[in-house]
Amino acid sequence: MRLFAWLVSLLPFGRWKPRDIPGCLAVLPVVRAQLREVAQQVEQAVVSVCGNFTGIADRSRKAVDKTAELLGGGQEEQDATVERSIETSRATIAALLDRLERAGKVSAMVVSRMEQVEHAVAGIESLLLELQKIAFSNKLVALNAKIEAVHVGQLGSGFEVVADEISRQGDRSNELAEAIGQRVREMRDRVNGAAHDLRTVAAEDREKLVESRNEAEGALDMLRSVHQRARDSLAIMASENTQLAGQISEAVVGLQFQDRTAQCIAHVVEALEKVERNLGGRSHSSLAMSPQVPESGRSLLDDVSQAYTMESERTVLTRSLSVPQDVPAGGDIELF
Amino acid sequence: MARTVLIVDDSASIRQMVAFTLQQAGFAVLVGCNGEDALQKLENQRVELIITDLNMPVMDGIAFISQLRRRPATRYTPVLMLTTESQMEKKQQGKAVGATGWIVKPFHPGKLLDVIAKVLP
Repeated sequence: MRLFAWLVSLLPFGRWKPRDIPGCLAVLPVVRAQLREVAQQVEQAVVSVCGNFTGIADRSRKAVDKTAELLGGGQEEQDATVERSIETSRATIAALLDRLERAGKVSAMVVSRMEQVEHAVAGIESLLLELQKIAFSNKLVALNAKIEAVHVGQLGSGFEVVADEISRQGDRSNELAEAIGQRVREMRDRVNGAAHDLRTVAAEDREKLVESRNEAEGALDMLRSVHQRARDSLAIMASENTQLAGQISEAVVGLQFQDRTAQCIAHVVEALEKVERNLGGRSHSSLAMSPQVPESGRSLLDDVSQAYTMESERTVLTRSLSVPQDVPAGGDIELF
Repeated sequence: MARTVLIVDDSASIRQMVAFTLQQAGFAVLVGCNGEDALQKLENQRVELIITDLNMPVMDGIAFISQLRRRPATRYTPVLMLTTESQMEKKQQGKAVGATGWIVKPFHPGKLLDVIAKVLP
């Protein structure tokens, strides 16, 4: 702006001083080069910003897509997703608990059968008792028969033998009944023991089954809750991604200022070229330090360059003047 | 298979912004920096849509579209002009050489995609 104001101040009213024209001709190429450099830097900056936008948008979209895929599952049935894993776990646990419950029912059936055996055993014992009573009665009968045989005398000797045999049979029956009774008692004790153990185990299993079912349901409910929270977060992410895309779109609209600015600057550069030609210049750089440039041109250039505050401005100036440039020592940061 | 769009503009930032908008919408893109460069790119690749600037060095948009309409492969390819020009005379010129549509910069990505949806079958 300072340069343009200075140029305008020279214009008119027909008061051109001949020594100023060479000065203007010296400065114009530098001004054009500065303008082109500005346009180029702005374009590079905008290209870099757009590149970053592309990266931001891509990363955001990929994060949402990957999370959605994990939570919701892909096209293949074999994909391991959280939703499917929860359902599979629930079904597996339910099947396992069902089997345990059936096993419990089988145990209860066995216990019931054992109780039936126990009743049957009690029945056998009462029959054995009856048998023992019969054996005792037979022994009494045999004793009475022997007594009668003695009363009868010698004629009763055969009868005495029969009585003795009956008595012996009675003893034998008694012994057998005792032995059978012993075995039956042993069997009854074993059956009782087994039934008691099964009842105890079945009761414990039932209790543990209920406990396990509750724990499993609790774990699955928690997993489902976490999954739902993840889905909610995904929905928020997707919404924010949409908003981000909208904001990036607005930024893209804003950044297109660069194109209009570049065209404006190009038109200004063209106008300056015309001004230079009009003033009698050759419309290219590398004029200022030639022996033909008058002192006024050099002083104008010095005046212009004193306003520079950046290395890039001085670089354009020296490039325009085709003077070998001093390489600046160090970079943008220097500690003292 | 993604549809391909050719973007022709001498401004690198505009090419980038249009490419970004189209790629986000699932298009594949091809770029050229002026009409002549774009015609060379079209020798080896078929595109479904062309978006071109008007004012470009070497070959401007009007000359470029004229060339496109002379070639069998691109005679009926939709061509949108994307330019800062809004004068009626320029628009008439574009229409006369065979442009399908005219969009004045700056473009809004959403609206650009709406226009593309209208011109592409």
